[in-house]
Amino acid sequence: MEMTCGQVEQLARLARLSLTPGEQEAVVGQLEQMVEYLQVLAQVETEGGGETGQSCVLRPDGAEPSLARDKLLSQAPRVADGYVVTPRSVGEEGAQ
Amino acid sequence: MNWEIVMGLETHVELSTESKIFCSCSTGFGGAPNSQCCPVCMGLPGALPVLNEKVVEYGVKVGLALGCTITPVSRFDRKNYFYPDLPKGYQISQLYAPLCRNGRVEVAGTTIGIHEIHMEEDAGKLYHDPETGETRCDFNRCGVPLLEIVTEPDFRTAQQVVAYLELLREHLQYLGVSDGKMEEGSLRCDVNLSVRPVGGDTLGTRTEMKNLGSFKGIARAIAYESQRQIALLERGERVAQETRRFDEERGETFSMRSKEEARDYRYFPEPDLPPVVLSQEYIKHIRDHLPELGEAKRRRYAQEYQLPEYDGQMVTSHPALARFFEELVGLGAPPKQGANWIMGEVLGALSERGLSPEQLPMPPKTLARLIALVAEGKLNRNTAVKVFQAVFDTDEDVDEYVAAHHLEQVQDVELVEKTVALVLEDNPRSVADYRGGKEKAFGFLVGQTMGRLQGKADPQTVRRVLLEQLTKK
Repeated sequence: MEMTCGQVEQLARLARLSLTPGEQEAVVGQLEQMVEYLQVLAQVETEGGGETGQSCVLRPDGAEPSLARDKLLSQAPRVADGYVVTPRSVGEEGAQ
Repeated sequence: MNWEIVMGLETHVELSTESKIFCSCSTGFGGAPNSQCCPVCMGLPGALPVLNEKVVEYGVKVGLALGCTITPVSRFDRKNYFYPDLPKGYQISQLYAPLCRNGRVEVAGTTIGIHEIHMEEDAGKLYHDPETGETRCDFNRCGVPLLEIVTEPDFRTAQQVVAYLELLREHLQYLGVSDGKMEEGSLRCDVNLSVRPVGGDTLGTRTEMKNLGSFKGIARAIAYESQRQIALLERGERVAQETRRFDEERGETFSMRSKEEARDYRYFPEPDLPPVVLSQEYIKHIRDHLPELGEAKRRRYAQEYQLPEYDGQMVTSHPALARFFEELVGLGAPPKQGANWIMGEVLGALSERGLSPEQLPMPPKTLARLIALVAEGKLNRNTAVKVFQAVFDTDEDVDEYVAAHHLEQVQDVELVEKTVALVLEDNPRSVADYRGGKEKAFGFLVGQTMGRLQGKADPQTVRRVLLEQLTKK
């Protein structure tokens, strides 16, 4: 499947990546290869017997202590009063 | 031209589990920021989700209550997006094989189709600081279990929308799966709305309204948005497909983002969670153990107890009240009497104290005893109300309270007759007024007699004796 620079640009934007024109071109080639692998995989007959038969393991409800906040927040680049601080992100909405 | 409004709803329900959907962090509301988080809900690399069984059970319960088919093998999918409210960079949701499908409910005389119900995780809360221009993130809500209930575009009026949400909230409360409190965000509703000429069979371009925080707000937002779309079309303009936010204070909707540059969520099957496989026995077990819902209770109360429709509505308006009512009746209170006390004194006392029905402190046996004392003629209704108010917040025994405060009703008719005679003697003016046709004077004489008997007489006996003596002389 052929990828275009436009598609790569769009994907890069969605993934918040900034690519130089040189990188973009390299990624086009790499993505094309990956899609080819997947197209090969997609040819495998999975009807009847394709499922692993594995079922999601469920956990009983019940709260346990969370990770110590200091430890957790030590992973964040910026913190204030127990909050993780990010650059302004108004204007876009979250999920749902 | 006459226009018709066409709406579909997406409702997010926060489930009242103790722990989050994929980890054991508490779902408690109001904790210090980021104090209920772990590597799973913070999306740290390598952390793996494990599904909470209660979420599946609650989802199946809601699905069955809304007449859905339960999907025997349902799956999770990743919805990818970058926004600081979900540090993983994706939300675990269900797109291709949701837990429930094809339901229907009857509301306000119309059938509303349920397209699907799926399980997903909630996002964190963001606070935008206008002074620093920065955003503060609290991830405590991240991973709190949600059900998203998606209807077909079957709504035509705001009344239908509100009736549906009221029924949904009632179901959630009776099923015990969510408190359904809109004001606390446990029930959040987005409305997809378009307009078309009446009788048209194609759908117009729709907008999606978010941030609808109350039933009243929803009705206002629908009125505003439908008028806005009709005005655009009548001017020959077009409606843009977009997401709009309703501003409760201004009563208007505002464009948030256009669908034309809509985000691409690049859904793909969640590789960290195998399919959720549910056996027919599991589904049957849940179906067989569904509690009696509000509608069924109202029907039963009307049939079994001859309770008027209005009383039935009031008494079943919250499962805690219905339970209280049933226990009262079980303790021998006549159903209509029980309903009267619940609608009047109980709801009044709750609202005075700002309590919700599940916080009702008085045990049913206290009220049952009060009702019995009135029926036996040992307390008059007014005194019973006073006792009710005195013992509402305590465990105090009604009989002990009545004895300690000498509140027993005067049973002695002779004493009532003597007192009435004295009152008439002392108030010749009122007697003359009454005989001259002033009805008001009668009330005054009743009051005087009750006063002399410290309010402990049966008002009906007093009225009867008064009438007898006034007409005799």
